[in-house]
Amino acid sequence: MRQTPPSGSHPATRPRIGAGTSSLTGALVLLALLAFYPAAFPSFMTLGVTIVLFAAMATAWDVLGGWTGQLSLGHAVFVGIGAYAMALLVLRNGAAPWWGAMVGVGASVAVAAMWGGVTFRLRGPYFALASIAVAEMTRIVANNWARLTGGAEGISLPGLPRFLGLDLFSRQVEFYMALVLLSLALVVAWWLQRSRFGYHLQAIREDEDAAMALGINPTRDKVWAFLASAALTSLGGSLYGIFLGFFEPRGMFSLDLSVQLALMAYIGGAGTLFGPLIGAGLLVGGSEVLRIYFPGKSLFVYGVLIILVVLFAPDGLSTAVRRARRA
Amino acid sequence: MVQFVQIVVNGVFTGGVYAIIGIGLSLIFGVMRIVNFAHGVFLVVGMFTTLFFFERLHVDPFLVIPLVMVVGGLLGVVLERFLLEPIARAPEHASILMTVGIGLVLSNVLLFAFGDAPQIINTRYSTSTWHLGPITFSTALTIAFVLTVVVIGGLALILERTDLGRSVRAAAQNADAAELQGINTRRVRSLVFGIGFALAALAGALLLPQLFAHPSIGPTYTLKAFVVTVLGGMGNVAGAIGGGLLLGVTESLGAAYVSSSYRDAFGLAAFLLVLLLRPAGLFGRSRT
Amino acid sequence: MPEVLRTERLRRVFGGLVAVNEVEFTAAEGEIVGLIGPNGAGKTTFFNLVSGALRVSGGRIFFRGREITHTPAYRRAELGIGRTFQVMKPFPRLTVMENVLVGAFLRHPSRRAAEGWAAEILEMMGLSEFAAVSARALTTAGRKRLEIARALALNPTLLLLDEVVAGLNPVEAEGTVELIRRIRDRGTTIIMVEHIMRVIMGLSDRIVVLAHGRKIAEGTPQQVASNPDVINAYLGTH
Repeated sequence: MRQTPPSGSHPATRPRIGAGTSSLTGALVLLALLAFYPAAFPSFMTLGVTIVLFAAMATAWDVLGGWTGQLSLGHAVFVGIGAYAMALLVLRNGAAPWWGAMVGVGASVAVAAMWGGVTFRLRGPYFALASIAVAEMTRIVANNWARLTGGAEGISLPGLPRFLGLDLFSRQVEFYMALVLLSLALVVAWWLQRSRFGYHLQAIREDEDAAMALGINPTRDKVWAFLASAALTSLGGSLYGIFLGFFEPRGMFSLDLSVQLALMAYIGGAGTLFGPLIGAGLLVGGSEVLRIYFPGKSLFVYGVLIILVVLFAPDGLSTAVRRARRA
Repeated sequence: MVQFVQIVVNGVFTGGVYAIIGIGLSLIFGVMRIVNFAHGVFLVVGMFTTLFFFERLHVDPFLVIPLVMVVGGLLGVVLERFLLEPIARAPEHASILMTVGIGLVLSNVLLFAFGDAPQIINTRYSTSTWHLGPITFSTALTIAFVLTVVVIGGLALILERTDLGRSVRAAAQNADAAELQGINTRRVRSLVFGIGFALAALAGALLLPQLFAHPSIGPTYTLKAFVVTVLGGMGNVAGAIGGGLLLGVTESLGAAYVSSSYRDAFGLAAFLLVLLLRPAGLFGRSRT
Repeated sequence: MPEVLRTERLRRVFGGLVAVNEVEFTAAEGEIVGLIGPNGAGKTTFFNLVSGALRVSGGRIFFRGREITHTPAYRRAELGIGRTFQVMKPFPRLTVMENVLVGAFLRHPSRRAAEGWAAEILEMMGLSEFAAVSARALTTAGRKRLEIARALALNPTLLLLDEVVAGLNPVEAEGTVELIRRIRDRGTTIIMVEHIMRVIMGLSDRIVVLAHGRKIAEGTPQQVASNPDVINAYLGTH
C-alpha cells in the first residue's frame, strides 16, 4: 500500500499558479494589499472601484466560462437585473439596497435556471447563441416597459439609506463593498480549484463525452455552475448600480458589457484563480490610459486584443507568461 | 384582410433578405463549424461599401451589388486565411472569441471611416411603390426580393451542379473524408467564408435603401442571422430559407398587430421557443 | 459464473443503416471477451450502446441482472461500467494525475482519498513519473495508458477496451497485454475490441464475431479461427 501524500495536495496537482495552500496565501495577501488602496491612492477611487468590481464580475463569469467552458455572451443580463432590482426596490418600496440585491439574485438565478436548463442539454453553440438572445430580449423589454423601468431614459438613484452609518455613495465605502464581493468570488474560484465539483467542471470543459464516461452528469453540473455565476454577477450588478447612481438599459444589458467580462477573463487567463482579476486590471486600467490618449478607440483596441490573444496566447496572458518563464 | 396580406407580403420580402443572411451563416457553420459572431458586421460592411460606391460613383445601389459582393468575398477569404485558419483545430471558444474580435475591429474601423451619424441614401425609388390590386408593394423591397431569389437560385445551382459546390457539400458532410478524397479543405474553407461574407454584404446592400447605415447595428443582424439559422436548423442551408421567411413574417405580424417597438423581440422569442421545443430546427438538420 | 453483461436483440439504426442488428451478447464475471469483425461491423457502436454514449434503437441491455437500457451514461459509470475511447479523449489541459483524479473522485468524494487512489492507479499503470505532465504532452502509448488508467480509477466491474493495443510497438504492446491480464485477475470483466489478431486471440477466453452489425460466430479463439463464416466475412471485405 502506497503512502498517501500529506496535506491532501499531491505535487502533480499543482500545475498552475495558485493551487493549494500557496494560492490561498497569495489571495489573502492580495486582498490585504488592496485594502490599503483607498489610503494609497485617494484620488483614483473611481478607477479603483471599477477595477475591483469588474474583477469580481469577471471572476464570476469565469466560473461558467473558464472553468466549465460554457461561453456566455449575455452575462450583462445579470448585471442589469441586479442593478434594476436594487434600484426599483429602493425607489418604489424605500427598501435598503441589499433587499433589492437579494431579489436581483433570485431573479438572476431563476433566469439562469431556465435558460441553462434548456440549452445545456443541447450539444453545440446553442448556449452562447441563447445567451445573446436572452440579454437582447431583456434589453428590449427594459427599454420599452417604461412604467416599470423608466424605459430608455433610465433610472436614477437620488439617495440611499445609510448602512451602519456609512454613506453608500462614498467611493471608499463602495470600494470596500466591491472588495468583499471580490473576496467572495475568489473564495469560490479557489474552492473550484481543489474540490471534486471543480474537477467535474474542468472535465466537462475538456471533454464532455469522456466526463460522462467517468460518472459526471454534465447538465446538472453546468446548471449549478451557472447559478453560482449568475448570483455573483447579479450582486456585482447591484453594486454597479449604486456606483453609477444613474443607468439605462443600453448600458446595463449591452453586448459590449458581456463581451468585456468575457474578455477580461480570457486575457488574464480563463479558468485560473487570478486570471480574471489580472484581466480586469489590464483592461480597465488600459482603457483609462486609452481614454486619455486615444479617446473613443477603446472598443477597437479590445477587438485587436482579442484577436491577438486568441492567436498568440489562447490560454490567457498569465498562462503564457508562466510558460515563458518555465522555458 | 387586405391589410393582413400586405403585412405578410412585406414580411416575406424582408424574409428573403433574412434568408440570405442566414444561408451565409449556415454555410459557414456547416463547413467550418464556426459560429460567426461577426456576421451582422459583415452585413454592415456591405451597407457602407454600397454607400461608398453610391456616393462616389453615383451608381445606383442595386447595380453596385456585384462589386460589393466581390469586395465582401475577398475580405472574407483574407480574414479566413490569416485569422481563422490558424485556429482551425482550436476548441470552439477560440473561434467564437476570434469572430467577436473581428466584429469589434471591423465595426470600429467603419466608425472611424464613416463617422457616428446614421447614414441614409436617397434614390429615385426609395419611397416609390407599385400596386397589384389593392396591395401596395415597396419598389425597393420588391427589387431586393427578386434579387434574393436570383442569388439563392444561383447558389443552389452552384452547390448542386459544379465541382466546387460538390466539394463544399462534401466538406460540410465530413471534413476528414473529404480531405481523403483529395478535396483541398483549406481552400474550401476560405471560399466558404468568402461566400458567407459576400452574402452578408449582399444583404446589407439590399437593406440599405429601406434602412440606414450605422456601424452599431451589426450585432442586431448577427442575432437575426442566428435566429434564422436556428429556426432552419444549424448547418441546413435550405432550411435557412424557410427560417428567413418565417422570421420576416413573424416580425411583420408582431410589429403590426402587437407592438412595433418590440419588433426585434418577436424573432428572439421565436428563437428561444424553437430551442426549447425543437432544437434541431423546424426543418431539421441536413446531417447529424 | 454470474453474468455481468447481457444484451437482448440489441439494435441501433442510423438513418437507413442498421449498425447493430439484433445482437445477443453475454459476458460472465472474470471473462475476457474479444469482439472482432471487419471494419464497419459495428463493434464501436456496440460499445457505445453498452456504455450509454448512444441510445438504443431496439433491444435491451442488462448489467449484473439490472436493466440499464435507458440509463444515462454517467449513471452506468457509477454502476460500474468503465470504457476507453478508440479516438483517445484525454483531458488535455489537466495533468496525468488530474485526469485520473477525475475518475477517482467518483469512488472517493474526499480529495485526499481520491488522490491516494489515483496515485495507486498511476503506479499500477507505470505512469507515476508522468504524474505532473500535462496530458496533451504524452506520446500515443502514454495516452493509451492514460485512457485505461482513467477508466480503472472507477474501479469498474466491467471494462470496455477499444483498440488499446493498436499503434503500440511490440514492447509496449506486450506491456499492455500483461496489464490487461492483471486487471482481469483483480476481478474485472473485460470486453475488448482489437484488430491485432495475435493479441486478441491470445488474451480472450471467448470471442464474438460481428459482421455488418450481426453476430456471426462465437466461441473459443480456436473455434472462431477455423470457422468458415468468419473467414468469409474477413475475406469478403478485402
